[in-house]
Amino acid sequence: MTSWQRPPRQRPEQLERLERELLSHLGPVFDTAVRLCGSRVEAQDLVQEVYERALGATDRLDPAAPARPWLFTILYNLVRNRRRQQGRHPEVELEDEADLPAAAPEEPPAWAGLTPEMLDVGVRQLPLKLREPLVLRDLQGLSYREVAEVLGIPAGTVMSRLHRARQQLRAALAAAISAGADSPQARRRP
Amino acid sequence: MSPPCESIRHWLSAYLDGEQGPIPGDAFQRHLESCASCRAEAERLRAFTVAVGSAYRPAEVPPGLEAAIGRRRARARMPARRMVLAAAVALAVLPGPLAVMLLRPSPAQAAPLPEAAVLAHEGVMEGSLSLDVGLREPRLLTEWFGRRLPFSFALPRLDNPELELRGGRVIQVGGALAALVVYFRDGEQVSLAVARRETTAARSPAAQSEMFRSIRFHLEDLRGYHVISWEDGALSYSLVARHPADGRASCGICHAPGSGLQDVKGFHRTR
Repeated sequence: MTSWQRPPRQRPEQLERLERELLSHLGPVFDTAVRLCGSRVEAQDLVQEVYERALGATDRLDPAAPARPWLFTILYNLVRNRRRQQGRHPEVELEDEADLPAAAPEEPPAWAGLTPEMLDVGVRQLPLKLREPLVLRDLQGLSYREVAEVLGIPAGTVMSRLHRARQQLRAALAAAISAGADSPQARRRP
Repeated sequence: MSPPCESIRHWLSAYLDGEQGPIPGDAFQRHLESCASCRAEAERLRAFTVAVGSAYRPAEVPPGLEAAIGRRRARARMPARRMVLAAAVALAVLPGPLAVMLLRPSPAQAAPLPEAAVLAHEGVMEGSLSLDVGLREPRLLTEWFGRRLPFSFALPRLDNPELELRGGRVIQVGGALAALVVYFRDGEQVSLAVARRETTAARSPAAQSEMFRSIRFHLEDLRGYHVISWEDGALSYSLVARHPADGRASCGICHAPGSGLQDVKGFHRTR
């Protein structure tokens, strides 16, 4: 049983408080849904389903436990189920302990040139298994333990995948910044 | 003995985040103090995570999303008998979005296809219903519905290039699954509901009907929309548009001038 589940029933006022608490995470849940499925339309439907399930199960939610990881867990399970139902297997299975060469650049780029759009594209292009921990940890601020619980993988695997996700993203964003700096528009800037 | 640089770099992200990996923290610290290359890599990684945090902009939440969740929640809380009553009331008097919420997935969804099509059309238009999928290629959308519907889904042949496919959604009609296909034409939404033939209820007596090329088309106005319904093989179709309910203009939704429907004018003269 995960840390946020607990059998005793909640009183009505507690349930209302929990519902408000769950809805206060709507922004991060929607943002994560968009980044996982890549479509705002699909994300809206996913998020409605996440909340329908979550709000229908508040009596199993521990009021003392953070609600956000629980919502993310529902979201991730829904995304995986949908992908399975749709027969989508675009993500190459990763060998977690594979010793992949580090692709990160040795020379640090000018990170001041990093735009939100570049970040969005870079994150979207990561393989799902690397995108998942990166979004949860670096964008949503979950702890490693929470990321491990949401994804149902050991903490050590989270560490490995997050390391590789950051390396790949760093290389991709550095290339995007360099390409931007080399563009004719950038050269015309004072 | 100090761990090799390769191991240090593999666990560096976790170490910088204050996590305890397989390498003890003091061993990490000693290595970084003695290895300029790994120390530089740690600095680069730290600068990168700061840059990511600064560039991150969360996706904007659609304005109607929280309200849509609330409606879905209210429906889920409603006991079954009240749900039946509420569905009947909603179909008759409530505004579109609220009525639309009752289309899925309750036992009280015995709306005939034209009415269900109109409610779902309104829901998508007003944002209280989202599309399940945004596919714009008819073949891909047909395959997508084919995997979700318990019947052999087929899109009708619509030979009007002005109709732009935007995607679809699974809806419930009369307790059975059906498809809602959404198009745009001249900047306005046009929706097509497709269901298995036997799930559709008797047609409104107010509907006009016309035979054309061995298919009987029923035309009616519902909730301010024009609806054309027909049966073809094992399927029933209802097309919803805010379009003049004049016969020839209705045909024009699907059949563009010069699309091969040469005799439509003559046909409508014989009504």
